[in-house]
Amino acid sequence: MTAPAPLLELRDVRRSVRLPSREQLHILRGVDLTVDRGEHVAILGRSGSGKTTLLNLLGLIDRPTSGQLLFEGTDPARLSDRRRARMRGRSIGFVFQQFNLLDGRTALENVMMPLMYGTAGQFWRRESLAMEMLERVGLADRAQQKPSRLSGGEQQRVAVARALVRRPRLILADEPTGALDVTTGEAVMGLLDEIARDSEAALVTITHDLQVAALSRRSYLLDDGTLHDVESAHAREALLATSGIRSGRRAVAGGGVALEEPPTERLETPEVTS
Amino acid sequence: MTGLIASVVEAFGELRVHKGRIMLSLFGVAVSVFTLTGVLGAGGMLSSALEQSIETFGGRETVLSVTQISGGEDATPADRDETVLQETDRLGIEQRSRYLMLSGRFQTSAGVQTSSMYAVDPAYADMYRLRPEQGRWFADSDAHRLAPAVVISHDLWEQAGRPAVGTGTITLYDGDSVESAQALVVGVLPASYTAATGEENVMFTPASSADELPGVDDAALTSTEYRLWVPPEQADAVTERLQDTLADTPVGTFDTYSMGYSMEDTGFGMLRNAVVAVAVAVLLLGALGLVNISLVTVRYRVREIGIRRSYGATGGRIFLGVLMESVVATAVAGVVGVAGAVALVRAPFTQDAFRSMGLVDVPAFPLSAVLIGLGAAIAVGILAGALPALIATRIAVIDAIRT
Repeated sequence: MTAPAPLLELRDVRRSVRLPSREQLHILRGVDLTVDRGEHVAILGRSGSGKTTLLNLLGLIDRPTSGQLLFEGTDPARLSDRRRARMRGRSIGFVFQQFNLLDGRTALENVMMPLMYGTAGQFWRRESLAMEMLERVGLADRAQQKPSRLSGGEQQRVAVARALVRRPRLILADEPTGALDVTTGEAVMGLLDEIARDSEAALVTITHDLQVAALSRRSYLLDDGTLHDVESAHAREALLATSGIRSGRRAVAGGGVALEEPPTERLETPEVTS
Repeated sequence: MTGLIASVVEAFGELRVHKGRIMLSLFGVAVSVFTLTGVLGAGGMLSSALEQSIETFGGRETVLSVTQISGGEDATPADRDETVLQETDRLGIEQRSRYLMLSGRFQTSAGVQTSSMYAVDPAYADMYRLRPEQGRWFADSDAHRLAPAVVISHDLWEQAGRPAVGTGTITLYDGDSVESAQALVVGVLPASYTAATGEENVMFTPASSADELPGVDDAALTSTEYRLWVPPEQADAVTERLQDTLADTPVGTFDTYSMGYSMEDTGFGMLRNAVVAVAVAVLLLGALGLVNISLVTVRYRVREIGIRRSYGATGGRIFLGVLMESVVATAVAGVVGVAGAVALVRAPFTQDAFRSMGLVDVPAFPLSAVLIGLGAAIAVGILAGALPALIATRIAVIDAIRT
């Protein structure tokens, strides 16, 4: 009996863009990565290192210039835009740094939104499914509130509910705590991790926060267009040399890295309140 | 199917969220649809009024006249009737009437006045859309009255001292005022009859009893005409057939020709087209404004569209969603515009105005105007929504999310 294909597999994935000066800018220079079902992987990197480009590739929003990206053994690059969009909607949930909730819609309507593009069953049961997910993130009593009436932490919890409402197999979190204070960020990450684990979804967190990365089973550093295990010598050197990567108060554990330099305090973002 | 329903649900959601902006942008569309539907509806009613007015004067479009043009000097009116009416019976024409032009004289408080008098059969009223405002038109039984029955014009009724309709009489005289007879007024035609025909003093009497009127003898009945109303699709064939069969008969030679007017001959069609052209221009201007607002809106909604795409919305769904927003919005504006136009055209004061123009049978608001109004609104929605929808599908998801 053959083993099931990994959820996500990247083989020598490269992505480059042509600049207005006609020069080629090589953003990713050969990324190899395997993510299995239910796994939590963190990708660290400083600003401009190509984290978002990688996220777009993982989220089937973009296509690699070369190399191969397989999602459950299927190469999405070979699919039409329409089928890729459907695969994305069905299998992937996004959590963004700036929450990206739809203005003017209530929390419930925001969570219902992905179900508009789901199956007929999901569409007709969208309200109950969305309400169930809001209850799961502890916001059932705030369902009829619009984003402008919610705090930053609540907004991100709504975003988490929205990402998970279609029961995706992969959750991509792009700087999920970037706009939150330390305590709220920890609470949101804890919730995201817990729900992902419960639903057996893989969680790929893209961050430049070591504390957030420490919650994952495996962490990688995206540097110079390639991925390095954070325990590798290259990663340790790069992390120490880079002031752009913030560390938390507690030591990075669970397969993470122990920094020799004193940790830098994370900047706290004021919580957004109504 | 679920995708389409979801798009409509999504569109309603968008309209609810952006109702202020939508209301403003749709005001122009609603006004344009109101104008277009109102013009078409009122035009339809006006057209009916004009048509009915023309029909009162010249008969319905396919009314044929059978007129004796020569010969038959020795024939009696009864012989002529037998020949012509037998032929029309053979063709199965039920709507037919004899038509005799006579002159009448009647008593008023200011002396004896003259009037036109027409001796016709009961079917004449349908052919010429004559409907008394008081009393009734003739029935076959009126031919057997001892006192001849008359239906008179409103002006004549006034001059005769407003005799009670159904029981009152007027006194008729022959040309020398030697003979007189009492005629029973069974109906009074509305004033619009005079407006349509230009005749003030008019009397209609049953042709079967015309010879009982004072001063009417065989000599007065020599120039008999016949009026036939035939289905439009058979008008040409019947005309040809009667021209053939009645060209040479023992009672004389008859010519058959169409009496009716076509609305197109009146120039009304051109006027209506001109007004519709103005309404369409107004509608297109409204659409242009809507396109402009929709384009701005799509730019404003780039991030939202990006988020939707990241959650699995296909390009087709985004296109359909943006298009449906525009279509649903203009459809709502269309319904408002059409409802306003129907309410205005069907309002009592508007109906009274149409009646004063000669409208006898008030038609229903033209369904075609309603359909054109709604169709135009939806077409504007498609036109105004297609370009922004196309732009929306081309938004780069990556850039949109980071906006």
